[in-house]
Order: sequence, then structure tokens, then C-alpha cells
Amino acid sequence: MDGYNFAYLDEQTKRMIRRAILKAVAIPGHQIPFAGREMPLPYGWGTGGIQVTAAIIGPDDVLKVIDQGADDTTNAVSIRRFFARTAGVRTTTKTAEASVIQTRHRIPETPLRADQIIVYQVPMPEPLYKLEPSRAAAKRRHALADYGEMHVKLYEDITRFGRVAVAYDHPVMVNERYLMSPSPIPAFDNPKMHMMPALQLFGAGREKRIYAVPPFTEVKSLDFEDHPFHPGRAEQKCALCGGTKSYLDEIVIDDQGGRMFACSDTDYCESRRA
Amino acid sequence: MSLLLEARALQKNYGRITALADVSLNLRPREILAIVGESGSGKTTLLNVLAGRIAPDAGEVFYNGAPLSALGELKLRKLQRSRWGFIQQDPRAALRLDVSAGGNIGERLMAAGARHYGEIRATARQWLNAVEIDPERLDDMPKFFSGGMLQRLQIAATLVTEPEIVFMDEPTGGLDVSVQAKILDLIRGLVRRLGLAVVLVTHDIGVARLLADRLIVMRHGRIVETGLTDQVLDDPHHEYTQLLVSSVLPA
Amino acid sequence: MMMLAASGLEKTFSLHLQGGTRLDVLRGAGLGVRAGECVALSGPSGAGKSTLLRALYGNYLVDRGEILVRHAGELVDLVTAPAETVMEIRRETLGYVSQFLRAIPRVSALDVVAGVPECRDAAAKILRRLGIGEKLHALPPATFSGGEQQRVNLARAFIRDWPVLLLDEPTASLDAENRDIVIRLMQEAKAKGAALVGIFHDAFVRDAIADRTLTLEPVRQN
Repeated sequence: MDGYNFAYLDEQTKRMIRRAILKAVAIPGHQIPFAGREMPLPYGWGTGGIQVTAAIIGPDDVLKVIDQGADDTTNAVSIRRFFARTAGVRTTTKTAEASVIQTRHRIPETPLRADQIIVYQVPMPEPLYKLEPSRAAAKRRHALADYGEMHVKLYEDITRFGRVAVAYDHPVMVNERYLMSPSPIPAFDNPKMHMMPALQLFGAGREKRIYAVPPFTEVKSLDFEDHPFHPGRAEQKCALCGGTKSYLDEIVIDDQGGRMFACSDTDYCESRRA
Repeated sequence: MSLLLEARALQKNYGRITALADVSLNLRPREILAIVGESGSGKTTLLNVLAGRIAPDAGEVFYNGAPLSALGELKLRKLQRSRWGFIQQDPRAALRLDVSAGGNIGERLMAAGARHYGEIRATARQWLNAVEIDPERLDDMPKFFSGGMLQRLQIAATLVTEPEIVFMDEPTGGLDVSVQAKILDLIRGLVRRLGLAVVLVTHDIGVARLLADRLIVMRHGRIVETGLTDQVLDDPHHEYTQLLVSSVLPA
Repeated sequence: MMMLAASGLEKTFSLHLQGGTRLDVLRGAGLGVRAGECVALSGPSGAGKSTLLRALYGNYLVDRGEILVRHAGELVDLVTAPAETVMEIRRETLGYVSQFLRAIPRVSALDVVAGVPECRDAAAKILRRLGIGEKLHALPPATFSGGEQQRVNLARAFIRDWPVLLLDEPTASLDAENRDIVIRLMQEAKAKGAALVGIFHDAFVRDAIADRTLTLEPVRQN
């Protein structure tokens, strides 16, 4: 595409982002500030994820973009097209074929490999922000590993609701050191992050933070010994492929309250039906 | 007996105001030391410097022989979270009012690594008992507690990690007299039972007499007199101490 | 064996609030008490009996002199000993019976005497011996009469075998019957080897228990 650098961002910017990524990989789970650029879509639409992808993607990469597990939603389609036009890379909907997967709010069901990179779009990178409104104070807590408050919140959940009530964005301890927000993925997906062979990168555009989980890193969801973390899943089977192990979307199909459950991961569902 | 805490020549100024001038003291294990003085005497500043919350302009505080300034913030915070405790005058400033009583007590345990929900609750219940709050109130919000109950909750939430040293800033200030008596008695019993060392700041000589083994009298940032509590109060030597002692209204 | 030996004690009170008035109370006072012995302090009011007794406990500071106490086999000078040593001596060796009980609210008579739960049985025994019935054991002494309070105070002292015991008017608010019980307690303490120093206004008590009397004269003020 004329007038634009490969993958939209200029090379200096890409270097800056790669430096941030290197730092992030060196300190698993720790948030690294980066000088986010203006992107041709507003905050809240994946600008962080796009900048990370733009910094790492090369002409030989194969890109998959999903939004809530689906390749065919507006956002996924737009972002995929964006890279097709600015980088000319091959795109795919098949998880197994991709070398870079950019995602919003889900991890694919198909296990990822060591030669893949997954890029998460993150709205709020700070796991403590609800408990500690001051970002400066939150920074201190991370530096001092002062996470008692987070466990207090989980304790309160169990006291009030009988279980930890965090359905998505359940905070995790990375490499036994940093408390991290896994992004708003359902709790069901948290276990996939643990010892994942692929590199996991996280980009928050509005908050201008990048963080990372290197391959084969310990990622443990916060819980109590006697109230262990429970990856929740609806009990139904997928109406399309019959799957019982994947995360399901609940879809309202008529005005009488009729609903069906279907795999959230469209590629997984399709490949089971093939 | 080795010194648990030692302060040498502490100096602290706020602009032209001298909060601490050449203050030295020590604390042994299981000892209760009271710092008595009127407002502006520097006693609260001294407490905060001893507890590592404020850095002095000059002088040093030693914990088990090691200077606090060399500890590093991470170690100091860890110390303050478990081996040390700090009871503030206003429990509302120290407690989380939107977290249940049990959550408040459990916080220091969880910060120290406790990860068993049932055990945390059991420990919290025991401590509610120890501070004479009905254990059934474990899940109640402190929002609905009286001032005296809040202070007792703070005591429980602080002592739950069985700290070695507890710093107390006017622990009964602002409470009704009958409530004060109850809390002082509680503190006295718990401190003796757990073998805690305590540094206690108070303007109330009666509190010092009841709780403390030794007494330090401060005025304008300086120590004017120090010694065994009964000796300083019954045989005050310094003019200011004599004034303080004679000013106590008889019951 | 010498348990307590004080010599050359001098004490002057400086009353800063009364225009710096100085009051000489002790000038060269001293005494020695052996194990199993009781020395009574006598003299007119203002002679310094109470001051001397309090000085022997470290409650008053003397300006000059030495107060040797046999603590853990050694003679320790209370005047120069560091605070923690004085505290240790008061915990283990040196007991003091004040004239009035300082009543702590909420603590039962039983616990005032016992100190720790393990000693409650012994505390009950000695309270009974001093005529404080079971019904009163669970009550805080603040509500007791002066005489009852003093008996609680005495129980607290006599529950233990103090090597050295200082007593300030121990029988002042007691009737004859209880006075005799206290005399017996002091005799038993002496028999166990305790060294006693006491102020006894009651001549009957003094004659019954004191082996020697030290008479103090008021110091002439300059």
C-alpha cells in the first residue's frame, strides 16, 4: 500500500515497541510503559494489540485475528484487513496455520505451539485498579510484591457469594512474582496460559502498557487452597459440533427466549465439524 | 538481653520546627515503653521514625542491631506487615471499612502468604473472641461497628501475625472512658500473654502508668526525663514532668 | 546472710512548681537486713520513713548512696543498676506492699492476686486465708471496702515467697483479726528466710514482728 511503511508503523516506532517487548519478556508479568502512537482506530478497539502485532510481524508471517473467539466479527475482520493491506501478509482463520494470533477476550481452544505468538488486546492492564485507584501506589505495590489486598478481595467474594466471583479477567501470579491481568478472557481460559509453549504478548493502547509471559512460564490463577480456582464453563454441548470441552457462547435465537449454545472459537468448531 | 530496637541521636525538622532533637532510646524484648508528652512534643513523630514510617534527618534506628536505613524498602515493608504492628489512634484510617471484619483480620495473614480460606476464618474468629467481639460478626462490615469495636478490630487485625514489636499511637484516644478502660485492659492482657514489646505514645499519664514498664517524657522534641514508669511518675525530677504529673485531675 | 544493705542515702526533693523549694528528706540514711530478719522503720511523720522504703524499691531515686540487694546470689546496687536489672529484681527478688491497692478496672480480685491463670488456685487459698470469701474472688476490687482492698493487696504480695519484702503500713486498715493473720504471714515469710523492712504504725504489730527498729529523725532543712 502506497505512502505507508510496512505494517503501518515507522521502523523507529517498531524498534521502540520491540525494546518494550524485550523488557516485558525479561520481567514476566510486569507492565512496561511504551510511547503508544496514534492509530487509525480509537482507543478501546485494539490499538495496543495492533501496535504489538505491527512491531513483530514480518512478510512471511501468517496472521489470524479473533474477537471473542470468532474470526468473522466486525473488529476481527477490520484488523485482519488492516494488516493484509499495510503488510501484505497472508491471513488465515485456522489457528494451526497462524504464526501470529491477535485476540480480544479469548484464547483459542486449539493448543498453541512454540513457533506461534499470541497477542492479547488489553483494556486495563492494572489488575489492582479496582482496589487501588492510584496508579503510583499500584506501581509501588508491584515493586514491593504487596498483593495482600487482592487476596482480601477474593476472600470477600467467597464470603459473600460462596465462591470467587470473578468470571473473567481473573488475576494471575506470573512466575511467582508479578500479579497480572490476563485481559478480559473468561476464567475458563486462564489454565491455558500456564506453561504455554507460545510467546504471550499483551498490549494496552489507551493505558500505554505492554507486558509479556515468555514460553513455558508458570501462570497461576489466584485462589485459596480450600477454594481452588475453578475454570467455569456452561454445562451444555455445542449445538453445532457437539463439543463439551470448549467455551460456549449463549446465543438468543428468537423473541420467545429461545437460546442455543455454540463454541465461541469458530475455527475450533468448524474443524470439528469438517 | 539484647536490644530489640535502638534509636541514636534522632533528629527531625519540619522547616523551622524541630520535631526531634537528639533523641536516643532503646527497647528490649517484652518491654513496654511509653512516650508521654503534650501535643507538639514530638512523640508521634518519634513513634513514626521508630516504626520506619518516616526517615529521620539525622541519627539512626537499629532493629536487632541492623540500621533501618540499610534495610531497603522491600524488607522494611515485609517487617512492618508481619513482625511489627502499628495501631493507629483512628481505627477508621487503619481498617478497610468496605471489607468484612474477617477480611480485615485476615489481610495481614494473607499478605504473609496464608492461602487457606477456612483456616484464615478460624484464626479470625479466635481473634474476634480475644478482643471481645462476638465471633458471629465475622462477616459484618466495620461500617456498623462502634468506635470501641473498631479499635478492638484494629487490635485484632494487627496482632494476628503475633508481631514482635507493636507501636501504638494513642490507642484509646477519642473513646469514651468506659470503653477506654476495656481496651486498655485488653491491651494489657494481650501484650503480657503474647510477650510483645510495645512502644506506646500517649498524653494520658494514667494509661502510661497502667501499661508501661518504662517511661519517656518529651517536650519540644527532646527527652526531658526517662526511667521506670512508677519512678518517673512518683518521683519526677524535671520541672516539666512535675508539671505533667501534678496536672492530672484526681478521680 | 545479708539480703539488703543500704548506706549513705541522700535524697532532696526539688519542687520546681513551688518556686524551686528544696526538701531534704534523707541524709546519710542506711540499714542492713539479714535473711529471716525484720527491720521496722519508725519516727515521726515527715522523718522520711516512706521515702526510705520507696527508695529501697527504686520507686524514688536517691541522689547519693548505695542500695545493695542480694539478687540471684549476688549483691546488686539498685542505685546504679540499669532499668532492666531493676525490673528483673522487682520480678524475682524484691516485693513491695503499698499502703493502698491501685485497683485496675475489670480485673477480678483472683486475677489481681494470681497474675497468671496457673496461680488461681494458690490465689484463692491466700484470699480465703485473709478472709476474702469465694463470692468476692470474681469481682474487681474497685468495689471493695478499703480494708478488703488492702487484704487483696496483701494477698498479692504473700502468694509468693519474696526473698526481700518491703511493707508500707500493711495492717493500717485492718481489724484485729486480720491484723493477726498478717502478722502470722510475715512470721511465716521470715521463717522461710525472707528479709522484711516495714513501716508499722501499730506498736502491737511492730513488737510482734520486728527484730530491730530503725528510728529516723526529720532532716533539719537548710
